[in-house]
Amino acid sequence: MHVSVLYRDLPDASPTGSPPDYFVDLNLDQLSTSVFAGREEYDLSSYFQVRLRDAAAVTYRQDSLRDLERPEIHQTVLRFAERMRALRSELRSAAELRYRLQRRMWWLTGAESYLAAIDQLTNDLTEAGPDSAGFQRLTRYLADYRGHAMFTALRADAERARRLLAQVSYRAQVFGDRVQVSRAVPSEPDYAADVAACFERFRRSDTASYRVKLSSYPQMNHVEEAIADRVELLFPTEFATLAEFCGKHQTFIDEVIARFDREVQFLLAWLDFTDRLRELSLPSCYPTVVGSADPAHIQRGYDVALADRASQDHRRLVGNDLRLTAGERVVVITGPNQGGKTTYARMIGQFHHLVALGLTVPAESVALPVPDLIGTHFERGENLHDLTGKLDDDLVRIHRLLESTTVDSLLILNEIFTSTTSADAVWLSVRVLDRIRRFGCRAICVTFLDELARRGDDTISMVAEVEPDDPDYRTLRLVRRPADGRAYADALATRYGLTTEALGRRLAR
Amino acid sequence: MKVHLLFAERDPELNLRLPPRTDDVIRDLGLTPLLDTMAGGDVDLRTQLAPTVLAPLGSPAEIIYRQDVLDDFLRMPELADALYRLSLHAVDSPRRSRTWLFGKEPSSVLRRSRDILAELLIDLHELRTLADQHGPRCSSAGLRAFFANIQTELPDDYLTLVEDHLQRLQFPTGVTMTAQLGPGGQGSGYVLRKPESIRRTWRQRVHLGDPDSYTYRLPDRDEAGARALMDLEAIGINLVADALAQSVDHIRSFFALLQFETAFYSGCVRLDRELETRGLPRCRPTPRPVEELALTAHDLYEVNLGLHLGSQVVTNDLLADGADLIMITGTNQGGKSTTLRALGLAQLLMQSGATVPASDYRASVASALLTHYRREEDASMASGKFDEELARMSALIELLEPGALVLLNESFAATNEREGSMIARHVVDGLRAAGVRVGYVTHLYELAAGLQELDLHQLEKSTDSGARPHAVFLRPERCADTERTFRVVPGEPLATSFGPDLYRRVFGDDQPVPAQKSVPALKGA
Repeated sequence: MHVSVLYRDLPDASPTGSPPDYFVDLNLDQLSTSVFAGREEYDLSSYFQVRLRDAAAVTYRQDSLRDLERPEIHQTVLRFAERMRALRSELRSAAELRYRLQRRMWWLTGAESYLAAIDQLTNDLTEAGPDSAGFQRLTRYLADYRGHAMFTALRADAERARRLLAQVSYRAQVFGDRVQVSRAVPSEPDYAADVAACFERFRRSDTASYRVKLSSYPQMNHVEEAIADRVELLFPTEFATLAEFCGKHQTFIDEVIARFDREVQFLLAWLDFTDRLRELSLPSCYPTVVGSADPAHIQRGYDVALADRASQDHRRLVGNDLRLTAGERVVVITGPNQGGKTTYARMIGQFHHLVALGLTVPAESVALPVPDLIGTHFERGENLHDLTGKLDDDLVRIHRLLESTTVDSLLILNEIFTSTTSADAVWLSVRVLDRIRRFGCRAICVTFLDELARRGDDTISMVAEVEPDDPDYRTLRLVRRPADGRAYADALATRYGLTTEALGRRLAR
Repeated sequence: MKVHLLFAERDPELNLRLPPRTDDVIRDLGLTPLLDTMAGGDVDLRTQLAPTVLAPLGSPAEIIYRQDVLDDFLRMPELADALYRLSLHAVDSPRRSRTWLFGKEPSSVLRRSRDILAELLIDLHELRTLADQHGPRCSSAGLRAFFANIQTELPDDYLTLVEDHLQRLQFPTGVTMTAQLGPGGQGSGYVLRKPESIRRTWRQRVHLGDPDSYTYRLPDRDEAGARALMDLEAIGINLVADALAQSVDHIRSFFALLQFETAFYSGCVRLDRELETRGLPRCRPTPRPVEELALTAHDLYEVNLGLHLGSQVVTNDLLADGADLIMITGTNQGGKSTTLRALGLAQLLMQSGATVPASDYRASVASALLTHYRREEDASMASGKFDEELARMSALIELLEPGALVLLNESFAATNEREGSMIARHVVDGLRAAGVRVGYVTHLYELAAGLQELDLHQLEKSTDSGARPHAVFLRPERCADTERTFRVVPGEPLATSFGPDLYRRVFGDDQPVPAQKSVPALKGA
């Protein structure tokens, strides 16, 4: 049984390290950088880039996320992560410092941090009693792990080494250019305390402290090393025990636990992100996974990357809906520029990706399938290196996209074939769209060609809304309506006094 | 280490907030010259002793405690000054130290504290000597306890111990510390151990502990190593430098307290000597509880005037036991205000524990001492003078409580006599009913007459005349030929303030002006 909070079963392919092609188009690259900022040491973007395959995997991860939202589990995981960070810093010192004694001391301290972290996490999780399969498996694993011979030996050896080292107490007399090191005598009085006591009879009240703050550095200088060498000569047994400990326990961090430390940061980062969205009063929900042939809906959903930026620049955010019956496969989106069409299309794409990552999304309610492929085609600049024209470029890219498309895929096309006449564009778009419709997959198509919206019963039309009295004002709301591009143009013309009749009147003076 | 010369059980507050309206009292009673005399012109001494004079004590027992101490100082006149100068010397020691700045290094902190402590040790020796010499000759509880405390806390072996610390803190054989291992193997939990007191060479040194030891010697010209050793030393020195510097602060704060308390006595001794030199009477007053309303004085004089005029100064007797109102009416410039001031000054001096300018003085303590004098000018002229007086009186009322003594000089004279009398009567009645003792110098005849009538009336009514507080009426003495003696004696208020006297003196005669048709004839004087 695979022990992980992210994966129900061992993932068959490890993440390739390069994000999918559609990431940039859907602004998921920006989102990734933002969500995982501050957690670069864990390299979490690879988890963000690889979708899960089926509903069971998604539910497994969603359940882990739910558990992590419980305050007692959240707290103990945070504390555990903090300890592990400290542990790594201690082990780094153990690796990097020049002096052997220092390396060994930090190694021991690192081991102690590890022991404490495991204890704390195991005790707290057992007491909390997780509900998710992921955390339950982890808790059982930890309980077993603590009983293992290797772990109990680590604990016993560390305690023994520490106990002996705690007894090391030495005396250093600095005199001119020499320092003499000997064992400390237990009963020697504290001279600073003696001096203070001598003048205690004059004290009336507390006075300011004159203690100077002295700097200290992690790396010993050669004088400190020389002293430590001599201390070692005076306490051979204690230091030998330390050396034995380090020799015996050259590795001690369990692989599964290390993996948990990394994987859980993925979920923690997402929780922090959703907290930020909550401050903007945006909704949040756990999506339901449906089959690709089932009805799908998004209720009051927000473009996630846009929402992330909105917390900094206070832009206006508008939630939108999508409602598709089983038979509705293609969504054609038309409307005025800057109307929110591309944002809407992006939202749909983002949501399909995030659902397949087992995460929450900013919406009131969502039911979507897990696609086997997400393909996007967004407007790009001229490809200057390739001497073929842009149209050629577009066609080649679409062809490539369609090669892997199945009925379970999702395609998002944003303003295709803009680099040609509309007659050509219509002709090409109709043929491409019909090809897509033959696959029967779900497709979102943003275009200015409203003919495309009327191809068949499997196609629905969404229009970016304008304010009736003020055509300049976009509500950023997408409504389900027949495409009526002309009407917008008419309204604009009317507003600026440029309709035919208006012109007639104006020029007839 | 305790001082407890001003109070038997506690230290005075060095930054005490003076009672409200102290500025008025200082101005009205002429305290500035008095304080200057007590301080002998020394501005710092004046600053130190003024707060004690201006914060009167509330109980006879506290006053007697100080009077006993003062008696000792009066018998050994140089002692108060010697203690004051010694404390000043000690408090001033940082200024004389050769090490100027507190550096960022523990060794600088240590060096400077050591220097100052060496100076302070001399002062501590001196203090012990004073205790040895003068302790046996003291009879007051305060000074006996003080000197005994010095001898207990600063015996010879203690002073030797301090000297020993000063030697050891030169670290003649280096700095010794103990430590344990920190998480990265460096030393932690450093504790400084006792340094030796005698300079020795490396070879001669004696060390405690295990004969097993290992020594590291720096290679020649290893500057980084030398710095590292100094840093290590600094850790140990840091601990004791802090302790030493704080101890220096403690010792200085003790001397600061001693300076403050002896400043007062030094001032009292000086005042007494000045009065004695001029042949003026002074006495140890008898403080009585506030309820008794005691006030009997003989040969009382205004102390500033006394210092100025010597034994020529006019003295008065005051017999006002049981009186809650002492009213002085009569001639201008007849000595009324002076007498009131003399009373105020004597009361203040008694209640701080000093001697009083009289041959005897026996009076109840007052819970507060306040003044309300006519002001010559109201600089802001925001309100009329009468308004100003009323406002000031109202503010004063807020501060009064039963047992207080308030001295009014020509209050409510800024309006006509009738109105002034009416308001003043309200005020005086109210104050007396609230248990406040009133001294009032006034021209307001109707007021005085009314109060006298009330007094007589009450006297008739009561069977035991001593039971309720009564009023005492005084006026400037007049001899037959209208010469004024500037003495104040018991006497009924007179309807005239001898304005005619003054008129004649100025204008030469008092013949009435011949009557004219439209001018009504003046009545004869």
